[in-house]
Amino acid sequence: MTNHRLDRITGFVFALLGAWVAYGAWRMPRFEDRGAQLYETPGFTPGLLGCALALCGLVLAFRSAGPNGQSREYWNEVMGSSITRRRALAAVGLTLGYGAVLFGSVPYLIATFGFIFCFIGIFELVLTPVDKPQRSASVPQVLGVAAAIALVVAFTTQYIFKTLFLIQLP
Amino acid sequence: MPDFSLVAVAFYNALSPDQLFITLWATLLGVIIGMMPGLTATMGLALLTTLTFQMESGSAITALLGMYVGAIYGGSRTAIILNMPGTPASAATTLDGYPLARQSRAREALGLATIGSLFGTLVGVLLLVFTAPLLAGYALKFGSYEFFWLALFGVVISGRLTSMDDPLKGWIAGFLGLIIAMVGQEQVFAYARYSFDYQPLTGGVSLIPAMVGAFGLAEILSNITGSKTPIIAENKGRILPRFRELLRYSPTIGRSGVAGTLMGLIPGVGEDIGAWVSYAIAKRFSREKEMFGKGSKEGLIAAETGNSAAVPGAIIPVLTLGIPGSAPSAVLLAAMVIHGIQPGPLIMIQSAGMVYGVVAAIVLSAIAMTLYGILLTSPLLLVLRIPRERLLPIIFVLCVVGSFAIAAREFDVWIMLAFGSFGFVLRQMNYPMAPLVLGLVLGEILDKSLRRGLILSEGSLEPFLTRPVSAVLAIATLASIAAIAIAGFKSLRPKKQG
Repeated sequence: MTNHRLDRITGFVFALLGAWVAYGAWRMPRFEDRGAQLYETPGFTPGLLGCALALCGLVLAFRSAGPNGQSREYWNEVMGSSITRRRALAAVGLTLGYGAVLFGSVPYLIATFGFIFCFIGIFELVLTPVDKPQRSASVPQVLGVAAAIALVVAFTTQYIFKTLFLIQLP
Repeated sequence: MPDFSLVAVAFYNALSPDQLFITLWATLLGVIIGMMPGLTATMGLALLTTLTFQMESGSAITALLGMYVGAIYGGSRTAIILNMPGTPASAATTLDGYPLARQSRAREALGLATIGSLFGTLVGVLLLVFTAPLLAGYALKFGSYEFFWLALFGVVISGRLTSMDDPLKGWIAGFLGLIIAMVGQEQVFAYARYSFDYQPLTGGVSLIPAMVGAFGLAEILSNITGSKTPIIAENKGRILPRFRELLRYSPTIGRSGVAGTLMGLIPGVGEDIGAWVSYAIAKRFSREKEMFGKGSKEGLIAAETGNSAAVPGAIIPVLTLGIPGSAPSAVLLAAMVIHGIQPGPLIMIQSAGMVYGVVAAIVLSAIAMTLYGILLTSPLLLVLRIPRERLLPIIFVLCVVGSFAIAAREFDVWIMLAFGSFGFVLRQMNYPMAPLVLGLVLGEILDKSLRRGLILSEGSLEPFLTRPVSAVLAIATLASIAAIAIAGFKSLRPKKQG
C-alpha cells in the first residue's frame, strides 16, 4: 500500500473521529437551567477541537500525493517483509499479552518471568534479524541466559516496588 | 535581576552528599538511556518519575533533571559511533559525528560533543537565571486570553516544527492530544466528558502512563520490529579537544547556545529542533561550509551545543508559565505537579529557591555528564553491545510496573498499552509524538482559559485579539496555520499531467 493511500485512509478515520467527538460535545448537557451560555458549556471546547480534527482529517484524505506519496515506506516498515511482520506481531502479542492479560491475573513473579523468558527466546532463537542469521550461542545457552535475566528482573523489580516503594503488585 | 544569595544557597544545598549522589547516579542513568537507540529522554523521564514519586520533592526533581541532561547528551554517543541518534535530539549530530568516526577520529568527535554539550548547557543555564525572573514577572500580567493563545500556539508550533515535511500530521497529533485531555471532569460544571459512565475515566487520562506508552512501548515496538543490527564504528584517538580548537569554535558555541536556548523556550519545540537550528546557523556563518556533512567539527559542536542548550531553555517556560518547552519537559512538568510543586507566574514569588535549585541541579548534572563523557568513554560504549532482544523486555516490564505504581490501578496500565500501540501505528506513518504529549498537557489550560476568557468578556472575542500579548500570539499562531493551510489547499487541486 502506498503512503498516499494509507494517508487517505487515516485521514478518513480522523475525520470520522473528529465528527464523533464534535457530536459527543453537542450531546453534552448545556446547563441552561443554571443560566449557562453556549461558550460556558462542557462541550464547547471539545466541539471546536472535534471540528478541527475532522477538518485536518478531510484535508489529509483529499490532498494530492506528496513527494513520497507513491513510496511504500510506511507500509514496508512493518508489513514489508515476512520477518518484520512476524517480529512486529510477536512484539505486539507478547507486550499486550503481558500488560493486559497476565499482569493482574497471574502472580507478578510468574507473569514477569514468563514474559521475559518468552520474549528473549522468541527474538533470539526464532525471529532473528535478517542480517544476523547465524546464532553465536546454542539453544540451551540462549534459554539459560533468558531464564537468568527473567529471574533477576522479576525478583529485583518486585523487591524495588514492593519492599522499597510499598506498592502491592498484583 | 536574579537573587544571587539564593543561587549560592541552591548550590550549597545541591553540593550536599545525598544530593550529589542523586545527581551522579541519575545523570549516569540518563547518559545510558540516551545512548540506547530507541530509548529517549522523554521515556527515561517518564519511567524515572514512576520510580521517584515516593522521594522527597527536591531530590526527585534533582534526579529527573540529571536524567534529562544526561539523556540528551547520551544520544550523541550513539549518533557518533553507530550513525544512529540515541535520541531524536542527536539526529543532527550524526551528520558530522559519524563521518568523523569513520575517519578513525571517533574519540575526538566524542570529546568535542561532550565539551559542546557542557558549554551549551551552561549558556542555557545563564539565560535561565537571567530570563526566568523577568518572564515570570511579565507573566503575572497574563490572563485567560494570553494563556489560551499560549496553549494553542504551543500545539500549533510544535506540530509545525516537529513535522517539518508534513505539518498537517503534527497538527493532527496535537489535536488528538488536546481531545484526549478533554476526557474526564471539566472544571466549570464538574461534568465528566467522554467517560461513558466508566468510573476510572471520570478522572481523565493520567499523563505519566500515557507518556510512558507513547514514548516507551511505542519505541520498544518500533525498535524490535526493525530487523537490522547496528554496526559499531571503531573508537580510538585523542578525546579531549585542544584549547586552541575550542577558542576557534567559541563564536559557534555562543551562537548555538543562544539559538538552542531560544528554541527550547518556544513551547513544544525542544531539543531536536534546537540542534537543527544551531547546525543551520553554524553552517551559514562557517568558513568551512563545504565540510558540513562530511565530518565538520564545527557542525558537530553546533548540533551538540544546540540540543544541550535547549534543555534549560525548555525548562524556562515550565517554571515561569507552567507550559512545557519540549516533550521531556512536559514529563518534568507533570512530575513537578505530582510532587506538589506548582510552576507558573507566581513561582518567583512563592518558591524562588526552587528555581535556583533547578539551576544548580542542571549545572552539576552537566559537570557529571562531562566527567562521564571524558573518563568513561570506553566502558559506557559497552552498553551498546547489549542485544536489544534482552534489553527491551526489561524496559517494558518497567513501563508496566511504573504505570501501575503511580496510583496502584490496572487502568493506568491499559492507558499505557493503548497509547503505546496507537503511538506505534502513528509513528510508522510519520506522526510526531511531541505535539500529542504537549496537547495532553495543555488541553486543560486551553479549555479553562478559553471558557473563562469568554465568560469574563461575556462572549466577546475582542480581548483575545486586542490585548498586546494575545495579539502577538494570535498573529503568530494564525499566520503559521494560514501559511500551511494555503499550501495544503493548493495541493487539493489535481495536478496537471505532463
